[in-house]
Order: sequence, then structure tokens, then C-alpha cells
Amino acid sequence: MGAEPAADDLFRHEAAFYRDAAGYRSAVLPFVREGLDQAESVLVAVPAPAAKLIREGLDGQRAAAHGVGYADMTELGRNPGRVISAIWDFAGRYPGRPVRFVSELAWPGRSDAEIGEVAVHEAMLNLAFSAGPVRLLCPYDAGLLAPGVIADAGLTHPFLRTASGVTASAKFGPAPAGPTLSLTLPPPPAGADRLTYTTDLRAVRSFVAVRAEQAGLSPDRTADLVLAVGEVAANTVRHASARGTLLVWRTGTEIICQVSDLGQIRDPLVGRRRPPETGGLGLWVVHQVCDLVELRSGPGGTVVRMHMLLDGGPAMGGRP
Amino acid sequence: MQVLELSSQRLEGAVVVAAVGDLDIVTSPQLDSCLTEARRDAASVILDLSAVDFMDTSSLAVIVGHWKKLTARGGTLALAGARYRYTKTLWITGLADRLPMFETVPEAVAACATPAEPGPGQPPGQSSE
Repeated sequence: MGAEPAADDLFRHEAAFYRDAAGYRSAVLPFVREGLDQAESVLVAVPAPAAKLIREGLDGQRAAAHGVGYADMTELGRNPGRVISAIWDFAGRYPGRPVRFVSELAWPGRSDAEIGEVAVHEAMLNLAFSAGPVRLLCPYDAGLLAPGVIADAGLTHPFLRTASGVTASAKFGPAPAGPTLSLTLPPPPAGADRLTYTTDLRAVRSFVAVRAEQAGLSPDRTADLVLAVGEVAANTVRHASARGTLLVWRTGTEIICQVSDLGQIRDPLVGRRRPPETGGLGLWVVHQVCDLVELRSGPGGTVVRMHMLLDGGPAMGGRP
Repeated sequence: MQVLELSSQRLEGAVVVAAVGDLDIVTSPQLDSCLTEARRDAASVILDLSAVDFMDTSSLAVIVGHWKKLTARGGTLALAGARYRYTKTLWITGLADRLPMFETVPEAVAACATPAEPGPGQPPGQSSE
């Protein structure tokens, strides 16, 4: 046939389009069982109801013996930009073993910006793990998600999985530079608060702190947002030859800070992989503390849009 | 008001560098030269972070650089008084688990004065796959 993946593919990235629980089980359970049969490290990161389906469908004892890990994707993947780093961490706990990962990020009800970042993340997975050994299955709810979301998943996944097997996605197109470098963002609102800066980063940070506080963001999450904006503005000082611009605005549910400058980021995976030492950590930290990060960069400059939900999600990172 | 003010003093065998204000990419060079000077005076350097209101990753790189140089010659760099909310980069990046951290300067001084008891931090590994 030629359309099916070879059994020894080092990297496999599949989407499964399901419409009900039976469809979910018939796609996901065989994928997980394959991993258990081959003694791979299996991590299931999906919303809690789907995790329950998978747990119930597996032989509990066997799954436990091989150490299937579970993560609540609504927490781990609130910002999809954190997930690649989390997969590396998971792989690092079982050196030398292939990783098999069930990743459901596009749950119904996510905002357009979040769904857009899910698509970016899916494309970035193809760059991040092309050397393997990593096998990924991404379930999508074809009944509830918009047709465009399903179509995008066909573009970003080399393979599609159904109850009857795995086939190549006819629409898959490798995105060599990645969408990070080409997609545009919707324009900020005309009434957004604006500050331009060169090296006065303290002014940048207090501009954000005052507005986050006014918006009712908790002190810990305000500190997170100030840190994130501070890191991106520091990149302006480090890399850009001219001044940067900060915009801050609120939606009904979020406070959003956008930093733009004339610097250009050439690594599309920047911030999604944790650098091994303390250099170049800034954008990785930004991804860890924000609820959503949209980064776009090209010859015209770089835009980083950082979102924080106002309804009091927990601050990231454990208190000591 | 200065974005960052630094002062240092000798306390028993150690040099205590007190930072007041913000540690960021603009002020990191000040911290760097202050720690360089402190290393010339003592093998044990304590960085008092209790009045630091902001800390970004560029300052972490400076701190780790001096810590490595000090541990390489049997000394240490200890952090004192870091407030979680304002120096969270230490925790997010995992450095809080690697560097010697103390609640207060006197505790750090006491620990550094008894070198038989090493702090919790180990020199960083060269890779973290």
C-alpha cells in the first residue's frame, strides 16, 4: 500500500477523529496497547472524562505494571506551548525507551486563539521529534469541533488513525519553517494601552503590573505576567536594534500583553524546548507562566502576545 | 531611584552582597561586577535577595556563572531571603533546588562558616536530556 507507516518508524504523529465514546475507544485503546506490548513509556494527556474512558478500557493491572502515566491536559496543555517541553521531561525519566503519547489539546470550548496555538503546536511536534523515538496520537472530537479545526489537523498530522488502522493523511504538508514564522495574528484593539521602550524595563514592568492589578489578576499571577513581559522586553534589549512596543488590553475573560520589536527569531521551536543551561531560558519561562503565548516572527520583526485568564487559574509552578 | 542598588560587606568568613531593586538584563552587568569583586575577597559569597522585587533569567545566568567559579575552588555562592513571588524564576528553572538557599543572611553565614557541612546545591551537570 505504501500509505501505512512502517512498524519501525521512529517518529509517528497521528490524528484520530472521533464522534462518540465508542469511536474514541476504538482509536485510542489500540494505540495505547501497542505501546504497552512494546514496553514503551506511555503518557496519556487528555481531559479527565477521556482519561476515565481509557483507564476503564485498559486492563488496569497491566497498564499499572508498565506505568502508564496520566496527566490532565486541561492543566498541562492550557498553554499548548508547554507540551513539547513536558514530553521531553517525560522521555527523560525513562532514558532509552520510546515514548508513546496520547495528546488531546483541542477540546471543544477553547478560544480561537487557543485553537490556533494548538495547530501551531501540532506542526511544531513534527519539527521537535522528527528523530524519535516518539509516537503521538491526537484525538479530535469531530462532532463538536468546527470543520476548520479538523481540516487543520489533517494538515499537521502525517497519519490518521481509525478503528480499521492507520493511513497517511492526504492533506499533510510538512511546514519547513513552521506556522510560527508565517501566520498573522488578529489586530489588537484600537483602544489598547501603549508604551514604547528602549532600555527602561522597569517602566515596562510597572505598566503591566498596574493594569493587571486593575483587571483583578491575583498578585501571584500578576507577578507571572510581569515576569513574562519582562523576559520578552529583555529580548528587545538583547537582540533588537531599535525600540520595542508594549500593548495591554482586556477581553471579557483575559488580560493580554503584546510585545513587538524589530528582532527576528529564527528557531521556530524557541521556548518550546528547555535549553540545557541557563542561557536562552527567557521564552521557555514565558511559556511556563502564561496561559497562552502566541509568537510570530519574520523579517519584519517579532510579536509575542501573552494571555492570562482573569478568573483566577492557579499560578504556575509549585510553591516550595 | 536606581533600578538596582548593590552593597557588600564582610560577615565572618563570607562576603554578603545585598541587592535592592530589580535584577534584569539591564542591571545584570552591575551584579556581575559586584560578584566578581566579592569573589576576589572571599571563597564564600552570600547574595541577599530579600529586597529584590524582580528577577529575570539573565540574572540567573550571572548567578550560576559565579556559583560555578566559586564551587570550582571549594567555595560557594549562597542565596538568602529570596521571596518566591518576586524571584520565581529560581523555582521555575529548578535552580532553587540546585543552589544553596537560606531564609536569612545569618543562616547563610552560619552555614558558610562551617564548610564541613556542604549546602544542598551541587554544581550543575553539563547536560539534562
